[in-house]
Amino acid sequence: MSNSKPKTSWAKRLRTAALYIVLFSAVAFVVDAFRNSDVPESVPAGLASLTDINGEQYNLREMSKNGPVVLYFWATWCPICPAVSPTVDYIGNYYPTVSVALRSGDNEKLASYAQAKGYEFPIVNDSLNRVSNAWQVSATPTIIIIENGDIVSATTGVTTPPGLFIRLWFHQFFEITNF
Amino acid sequence: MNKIFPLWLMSLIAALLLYSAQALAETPSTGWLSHKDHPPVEVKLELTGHYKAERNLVPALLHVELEEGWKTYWRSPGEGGIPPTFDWSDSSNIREIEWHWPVPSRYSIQGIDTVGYQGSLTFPLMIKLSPDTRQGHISGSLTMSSCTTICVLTDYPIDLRINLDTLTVDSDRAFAFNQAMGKVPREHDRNDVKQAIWSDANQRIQLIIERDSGWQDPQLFVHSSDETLADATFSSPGIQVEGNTLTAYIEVSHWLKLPDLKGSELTATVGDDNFAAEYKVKLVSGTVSTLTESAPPLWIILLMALIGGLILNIMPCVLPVLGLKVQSLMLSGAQQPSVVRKQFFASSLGIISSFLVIALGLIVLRWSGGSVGWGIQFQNPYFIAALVALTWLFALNLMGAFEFKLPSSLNTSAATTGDNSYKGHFLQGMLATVLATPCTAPFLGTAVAFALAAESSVILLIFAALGVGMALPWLLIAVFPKSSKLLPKPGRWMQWVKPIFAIMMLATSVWLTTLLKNFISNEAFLVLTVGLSVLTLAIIGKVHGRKALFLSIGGFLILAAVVGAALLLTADRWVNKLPQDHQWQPLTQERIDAAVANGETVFVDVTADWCVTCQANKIGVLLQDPVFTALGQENVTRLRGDWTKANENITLYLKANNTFGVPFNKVYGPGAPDGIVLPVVLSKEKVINALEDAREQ
Repeated sequence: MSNSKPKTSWAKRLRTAALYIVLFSAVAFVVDAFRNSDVPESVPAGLASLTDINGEQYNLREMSKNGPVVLYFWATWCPICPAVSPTVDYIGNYYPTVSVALRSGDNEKLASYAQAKGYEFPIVNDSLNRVSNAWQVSATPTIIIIENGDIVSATTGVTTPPGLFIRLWFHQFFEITNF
Repeated sequence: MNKIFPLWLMSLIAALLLYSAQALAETPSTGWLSHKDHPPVEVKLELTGHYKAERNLVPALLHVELEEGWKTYWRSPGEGGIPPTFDWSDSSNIREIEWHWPVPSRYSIQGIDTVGYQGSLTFPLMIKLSPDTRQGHISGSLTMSSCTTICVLTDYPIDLRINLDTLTVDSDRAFAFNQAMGKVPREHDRNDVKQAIWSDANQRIQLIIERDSGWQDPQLFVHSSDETLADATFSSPGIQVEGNTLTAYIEVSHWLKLPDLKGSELTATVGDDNFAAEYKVKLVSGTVSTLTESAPPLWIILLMALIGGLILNIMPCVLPVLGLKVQSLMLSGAQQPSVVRKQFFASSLGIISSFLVIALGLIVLRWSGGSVGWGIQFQNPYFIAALVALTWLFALNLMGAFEFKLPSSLNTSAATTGDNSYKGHFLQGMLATVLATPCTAPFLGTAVAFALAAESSVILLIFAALGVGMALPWLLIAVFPKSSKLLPKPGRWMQWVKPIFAIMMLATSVWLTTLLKNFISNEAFLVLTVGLSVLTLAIIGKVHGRKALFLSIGGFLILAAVVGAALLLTADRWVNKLPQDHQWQPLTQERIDAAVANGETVFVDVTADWCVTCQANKIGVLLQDPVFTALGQENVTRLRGDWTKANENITLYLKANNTFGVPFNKVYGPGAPDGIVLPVVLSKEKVINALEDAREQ
């Protein structure tokens, strides 16, 4: 008897927790969708392939065929970005990740900045806002999730590692597109 | 009637002429500009209509309207951010555009310190026309940065034509311009800057600025137009005001490598009540005193004490006691939560009360005119001997050597029956504290130095905070006694864990014994160690029989390794890899003065055998290259103050430097006659930098 009581309360707690998670996720998705109504629905034509500061090519359409790909817009002058970049760096261990640095100086400066901060994600130097304009991203930090060439999620502002993981799992397992 | 020009045509021409004259008299403005992707920010560039012919200047206003929550940045934006920029390279007949920055404010975004503006703001601009021209065209792109929890960089195309022939003054704008210029700092006499020092060792600037009418609540901002310092961050300054003198300390950092700021030209902008000044400053190399810095408020010190106390738990000194605690915790798995709670409260009380005892002891010592300091009880051989005995008994008890139960009451039956004998736990707490005292931890040094210079009640308060900090893990379990159930259940495997804790405790005992070496002869020391070892083995053999003896000899071999490690910490001659230490002269103030007068560099090392941090500094930094070689150079005088035993001269020296504990290191030289104080935990870079700074005249 004494054993069964805590069990039910645990199940209850779990259910409440699950409800909260679903609720939070729903709110997050709605807010995401609202905040980024401008972001295109799929990878902009002509910009599927990006070249990072080391000359490596990244084809976002190809890469996202095998699962979600993270595209991260940031800048060295953005005071919030240092709070988000480590999360993206960490996510890079589990999902293919490409970053775009908006008007943050030349390749050399970006390389030494990333090295000093310990960022390992590839960096595309967008010194003329060519990439960010095509993606209609004007605010940093912005994290976009691409799957099968489609943009499935876009978030601007501070993101936590669990928040980003939940988004990625969600899209990986349910393959919901065009959110 | 004039037939050629009928009246209606005449009046039409007149009206047109009048209208065009009005249209020609103009005060150009871009009107409010906004970007469709970023509505929260609007900008407007307009001329006042004035023209200063003697310098070809056309005053203009750049209005920026930021929605609530949005900020833009000053020319030195702080830890993040980017100032607005105006690229006017497509303009014609424009020689220069002078941008004037009103005094900014400081904002913290997610803990990042930035300098900028919010709300409505106006930058006054001075547009300089090319000589001998009546018309100019400003064309270009204004880039505004704006941040809330997101950051946006927005470009606004600017197109404004200036025609001096039609330019008319707009009195509202002229007034707004004067108002905006009033918020722009005026350049003040650089003679008001009494001191501008850069300390490379501390990566810190010290500015002393005087103002005849005194200071109220000054804010200070530093900017450098030097390209190499473009990415340098000037911290929010520590400001101290005494009458007409303002002293500011500014930490400088760079995400890559900060260049030496010696000789750098900076501007210091100071805003105060109805006062905005800009001072040009040239930095000279020197030492930055930390002593005159105003002490932080008491609650910060108490917080530091709390954190320092908590950190003490992971310093090596207390580990054996922690092991003891974990073990008793595992045994407590079968106990009533209320019993566990009381036990851990008892331990916490032991910790806190022994901190209070130490505080009381220090207060009494101070009253009686004695010298006070952190860990000075280790200067007393009787104290060490008592600790040796205590730790040894605890170790033996852990080995199960006693049939009678030591106060630690590790006996399960006694504890489960809850015989209210919590004395053992109280004692454990006290032992943990006394063992922790030779370890200084980060934050702890500052808190203790503050306490010992303060009045008695503050000493008690700070030491109580240290105690609570150290007892926090204990208190946590006392509050949530059920958490002890998360630990593995006691079982046969405990018999294997127990000897490990016993060995840790025994190693502590051995380390304490080595400290006695300083007070007794070598022979006595040998007799003591051999005697204790044999006694330990004999007791184990007697209590547990042959099998246990075999096990404990195995354990003893491990112990030997631990002892080896302990000796590694205390005597460098045991270590082959480390070089033989240099010859050091005993520390006296006269030696320092004589050597500095001689143009030599002096390195002072105040240390003690019982100070674990000192040993770490020695092995990790002082005996390692490049520091070892640098200290060995001919023009370097090495002075060592040994505080292992009480020494009045060394205590006085420490006190003169506003510190009450070891390690303490300081470098003197022609470049730093007052000396450069090194941090408690040394780093090779800091030592080398200080030696170089001290050497330079």
